[in-house]
Amino acid sequence: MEGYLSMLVNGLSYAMLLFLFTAGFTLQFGVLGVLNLAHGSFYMLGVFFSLTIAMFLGHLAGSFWIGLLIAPLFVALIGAFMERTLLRRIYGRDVLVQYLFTYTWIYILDDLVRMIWGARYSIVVMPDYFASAINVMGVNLSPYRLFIVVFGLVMGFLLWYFLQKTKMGMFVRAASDNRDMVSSLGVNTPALFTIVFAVGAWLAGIGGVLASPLQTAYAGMGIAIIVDCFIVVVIGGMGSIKGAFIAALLIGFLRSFGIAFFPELEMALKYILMAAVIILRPRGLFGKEEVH
Amino acid sequence: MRNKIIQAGPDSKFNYLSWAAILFVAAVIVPLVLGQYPPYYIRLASSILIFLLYGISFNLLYGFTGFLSFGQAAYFGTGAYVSALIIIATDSLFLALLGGAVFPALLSVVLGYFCVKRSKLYFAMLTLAFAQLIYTIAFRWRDVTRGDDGLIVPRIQYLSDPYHFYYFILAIVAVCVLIHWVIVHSSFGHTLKAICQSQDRVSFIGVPVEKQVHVAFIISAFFGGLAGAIYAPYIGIVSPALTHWEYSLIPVIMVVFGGPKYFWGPAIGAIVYMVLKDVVTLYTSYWMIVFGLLLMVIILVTPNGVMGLLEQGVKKFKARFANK
Amino acid sequence: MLKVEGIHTYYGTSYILQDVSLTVNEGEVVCVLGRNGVGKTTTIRSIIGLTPPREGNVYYKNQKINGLQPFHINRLGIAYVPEDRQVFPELTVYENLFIAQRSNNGDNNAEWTIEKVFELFPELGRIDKRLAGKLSGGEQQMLTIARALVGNPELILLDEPSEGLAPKVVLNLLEALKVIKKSTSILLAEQNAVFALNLADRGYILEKGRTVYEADAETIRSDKELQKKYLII
Repeated sequence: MEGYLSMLVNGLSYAMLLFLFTAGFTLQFGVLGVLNLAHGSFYMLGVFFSLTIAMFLGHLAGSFWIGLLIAPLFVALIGAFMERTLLRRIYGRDVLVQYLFTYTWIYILDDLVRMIWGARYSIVVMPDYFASAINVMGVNLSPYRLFIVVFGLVMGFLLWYFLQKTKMGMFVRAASDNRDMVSSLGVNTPALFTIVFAVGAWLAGIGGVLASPLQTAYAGMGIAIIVDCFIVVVIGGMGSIKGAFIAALLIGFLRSFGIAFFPELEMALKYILMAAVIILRPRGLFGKEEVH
Repeated sequence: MRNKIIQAGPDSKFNYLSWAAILFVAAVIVPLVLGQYPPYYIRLASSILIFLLYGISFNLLYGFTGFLSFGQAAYFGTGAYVSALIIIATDSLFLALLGGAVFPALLSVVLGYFCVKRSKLYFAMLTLAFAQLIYTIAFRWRDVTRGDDGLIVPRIQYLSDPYHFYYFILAIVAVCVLIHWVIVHSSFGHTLKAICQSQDRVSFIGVPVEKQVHVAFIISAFFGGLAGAIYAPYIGIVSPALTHWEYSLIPVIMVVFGGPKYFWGPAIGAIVYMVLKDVVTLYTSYWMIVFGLLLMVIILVTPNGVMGLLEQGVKKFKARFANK
Repeated sequence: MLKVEGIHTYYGTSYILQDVSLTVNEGEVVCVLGRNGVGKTTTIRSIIGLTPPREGNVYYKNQKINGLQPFHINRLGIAYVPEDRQVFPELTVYENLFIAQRSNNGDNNAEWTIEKVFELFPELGRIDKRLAGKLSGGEQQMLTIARALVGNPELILLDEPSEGLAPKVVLNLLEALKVIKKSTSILLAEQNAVFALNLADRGYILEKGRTVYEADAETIRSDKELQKKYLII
């Protein structure tokens, strides 16, 4: 029983990180139509910024929370900058070219991180009150992971509310469907693109900050999560936040239970699942009808 | 607006073939020129040829049908592993190359059957998933692949001289380029190009689109596997990195550099990529940022790659002359 | 009010508009007629900026608008109702209208609000919570027109609104447009000449990407030879 509960929490917390990250990716893809490979680099930047903030503020009470607030904003700014100056220039181009273009950013950002922060591996220390296990129903659980789960659920709700109930959210949903028409209705689509891209980067940054106490930070750490993101997007359906949520849960559980029960196979499981979804239900769980 | 070196076929066959002949002769002469320099250079030339083949395997599918394989490394890497294992088991290079090319092709028969039914986007995703799956197998199946320790490939006796190895590779790659040429100019090739332009129209005239793309996919896997199969004895050690999706990006980079719509695009791309990479690493350990910036600039500046730039340059040059 | 001067527009490498000129004066309804493929849709799209012309100019109230982004052109007062309706399927009827709302900062009584639009199209009011993707062709057409109206434009570009609709629905549409034309100028591209001439004051005929004829609606209506030459298949 003990093992299962903590596996559940582990799976859930990874799922929340993955969901936040993928939600940002999905927004970028839905509205701008770009597969931003460098999204993982935004995640990485979130981690490193939170590291730096933690170093600066030291043992100041609440340094983690300040980091959580500020670091993703920096990442969002960088995202906005990259969209306006670089991404904008290749909008009409071939998918492959856009894909490759964002890939070059990984190279650039990875090396920039190496240059600024050095090649060493680091880790952020989480606040004390998260550090010791709490006891739930006789089981020791990590309060930090529980926090991530709650945070993720709250963010998910906020995201849902934003998209469904606010005017801006309607713009985003409409633009995901048909950006030309949205422009014809008077919405400043270039500005919308920049905002959405920045929000996507912001979400990735949040994911990074949340993950920073749990894993070592190193240049190039973006690759692992972008691959998982692809899988989530395929399983959940391209362009669907709801799908991303469900699929992230699946992957999170697959990971935590997989490592426990099928350690050798665990890595392969998610690819097999991805392949199965593409073969059997190509648009994913909640995706729109496939367009050729 | 007729382009000279367009995918729809050249204006003058003679012109084209003569270029090919010149290139071939140049490739043959290269070792004689490089003979005075350390073996590093001839090995670089060898690797350029191998990656040229790798790039062609990708462009065969992409440049002509528009279908993107995000996981070309699956074939390259699998070919490398199969080749390495066969050399270890039997010491026969011939069998290694055969196995290394055929095995991935067989995989693609099965994989392709599912993939080609999908739209180009899902096709790309699926090939990526498959590549990662292969990577996982290569990483985990330590009994066979030695995981990330890598699989050491024993030296081939009669190819221990890097100059002999170069000619060997040249021979194989030249034959492959020839086959590629034949395919491109065959009716099959024309169908592929038509599919790229409009899948629907082609299917309306009764062509089994999926089958054609499937065949192209298999050929692409074959060449990719062959490239990997040659790479194994060349590099001496095979690791899972060869199957990672980042490795799949290499032919993409080469093709985008060189120009996907051109027959010789991958060739230019291979040369530029390999030389650039080596040169940059000489000067700085931060080669990734330099490389990334360069690639980014190229993408921004020339939509049709280096070949596109050259073509524009030639046109402008000719226009100048015409005005005089 | 709107002046299109000798525009040439390409779609990719296809040379669609090879010299199109027309004008729309304030308060007018002008139609653009011609057979299928002659360039009517491209003309409309060139005006709203979705397929900008390579040569020639488009002026709106003496301001050059070719080369501007569609949203900019829209904010100047031109609304676009596309040929295939293009409602946002994942949004409800109400949401489709909500995001297109814009006040014209003028006479409040003359404004098209969502309520006013529901008065014009009561059927829409009844289904305001339904997802736009689930509407019938006629309902979607009403929605697209309503969506253009709530932006309070001065000029509406209508691209083949009657296409694919049942005759009864077309009649309803015509009635609604007759109400709309009292407050808004209209440029109407239509293959259905009868429908268009019923509404329009003047008309242009396109052939192979060129304006080849211009007259007032009555003239075109009565000239059978003309119709046979350019309009009937």
